[in-house]
Amino acid sequence: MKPTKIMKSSKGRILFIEDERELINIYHDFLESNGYDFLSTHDIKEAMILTEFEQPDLVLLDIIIPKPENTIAEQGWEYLEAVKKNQKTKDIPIVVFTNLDTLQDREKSQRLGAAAYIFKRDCSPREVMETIKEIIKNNLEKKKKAGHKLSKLVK
Amino acid sequence: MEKTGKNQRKEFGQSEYLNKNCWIVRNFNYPPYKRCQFCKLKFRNCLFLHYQIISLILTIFFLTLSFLIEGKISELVIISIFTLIIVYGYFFNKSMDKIIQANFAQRKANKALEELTEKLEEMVEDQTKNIKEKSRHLQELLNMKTDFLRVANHQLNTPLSIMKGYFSMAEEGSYPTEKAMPSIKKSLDRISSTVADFWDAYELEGERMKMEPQKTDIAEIISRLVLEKQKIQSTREKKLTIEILDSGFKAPAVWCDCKKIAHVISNLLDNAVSYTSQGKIIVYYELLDNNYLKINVKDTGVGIFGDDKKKIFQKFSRGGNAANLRPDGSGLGLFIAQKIVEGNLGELSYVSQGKDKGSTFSFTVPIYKNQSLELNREESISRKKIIIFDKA
Repeated sequence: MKPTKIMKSSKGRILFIEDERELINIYHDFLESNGYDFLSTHDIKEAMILTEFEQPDLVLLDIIIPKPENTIAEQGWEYLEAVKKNQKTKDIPIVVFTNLDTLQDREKSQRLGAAAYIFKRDCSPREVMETIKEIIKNNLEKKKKAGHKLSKLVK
Repeated sequence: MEKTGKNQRKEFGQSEYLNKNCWIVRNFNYPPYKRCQFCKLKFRNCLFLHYQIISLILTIFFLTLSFLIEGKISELVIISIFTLIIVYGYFFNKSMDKIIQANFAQRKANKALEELTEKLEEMVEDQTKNIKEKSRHLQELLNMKTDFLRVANHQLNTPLSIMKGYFSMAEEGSYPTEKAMPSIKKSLDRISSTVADFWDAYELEGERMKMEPQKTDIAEIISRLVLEKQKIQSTREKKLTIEILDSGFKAPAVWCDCKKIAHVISNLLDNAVSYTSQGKIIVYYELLDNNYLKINVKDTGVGIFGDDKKKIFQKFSRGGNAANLRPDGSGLGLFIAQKIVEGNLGELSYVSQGKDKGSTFSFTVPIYKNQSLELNREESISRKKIIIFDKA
């Protein structure tokens, strides 16, 4: 079926939504060398399609992503909202990974259902990876619990 | 010819309104208004009218009484009654005058007060409008400031996070230091150029940046810059050629701030290189009615299309392809270039045939014609690395 099912050997599939090539390079190198599968895009529409069809284990989301026809835009919020509304994608944890560091941005991330908020500037790739690891683990446990409940209900 | 239309008539109660045919007006110089023009009383309350009516009744009463008692009206009675009325009337009239004058003065004062109140109200309204307008404007400025800070924050933090990433990986030993160096250097350059751009934009916004025009050999500047740009990495990587086209005449000397115009040319060439993936960049001159020299930078790059056309000279504006082709841009380059060209009495414009059809950026500068410096020219302190103020 989908390629997602086959690659179970990796620690997880990360979708990185980012427009900075350098950062993509850094995290691509770092996460792949640490055993993660890495996908990246700088296009929000493409990101939505990827999220739905590739079903990544976690999304690292930059907020400021330029629109194709506009200057600097905070498209990340739209993506976050859309993904959390979609039944197929709402359980995928999304980590807001940005250089905006106001309280409002943090609150907004939480309100829109982000799993974590990482201030890009102050975090090393290692710290980011630790966070990713934890969130993926938590999410798996949650899924297991939900699965148990479902099976109990079926019984 | 007096107009008798309703609208032309003065209103009741105003001293200008007089019915000149009225018997009382003619005889007593006192108009029979429904309300007195002086004290605004209704006439049934008017003392003067009371006096008249009572006098009439008393006269008739005394005359009748005298007729009933004596069988005739004696002349003495008539004379005494009229004398009494006239004498009494004289004194009454005198005191009335005082009352009327006092009332009149009060009315005048009232009217003045009313006018003043109206005027004040108008003024207050005007001021309120003004204040509202100003506060709206301030709010706009505040929003702009917030946007600016947000963008500035982002533009500065991004290279910092890149450096952070490389540094921490290098520290761990998971990434070779030498390999990270170029990226770190690029990020540093990007920070300094962003900071410089912000300051330029700030200075140009309020026209704080002083232009220092002088006779400039622009052809020399351009050939120097073209040589420079031919050597940069991205030009060589993309195998772009940059050449100056022979325009058939020698480019005349121009009157401009040479350093800042050089910045503009450099910016246009940089843009051309960044947004062109293959082909060539051509620089050529045109003469505009012997007063202006037009410098054109033509490329075979992505072109300008759609909404970008409107926004291209705005602050923080970056074209649709800009993010992919030149992620380090601050979106201030063309804004600054335009301000500089305008400051040198020229015009910056562009032509593009559309997507992937290249674009031509042009600007004009006035040709040198013995213009002289203004006397109050200030010594400017440009952004040099080191400036020694205390020259012995």
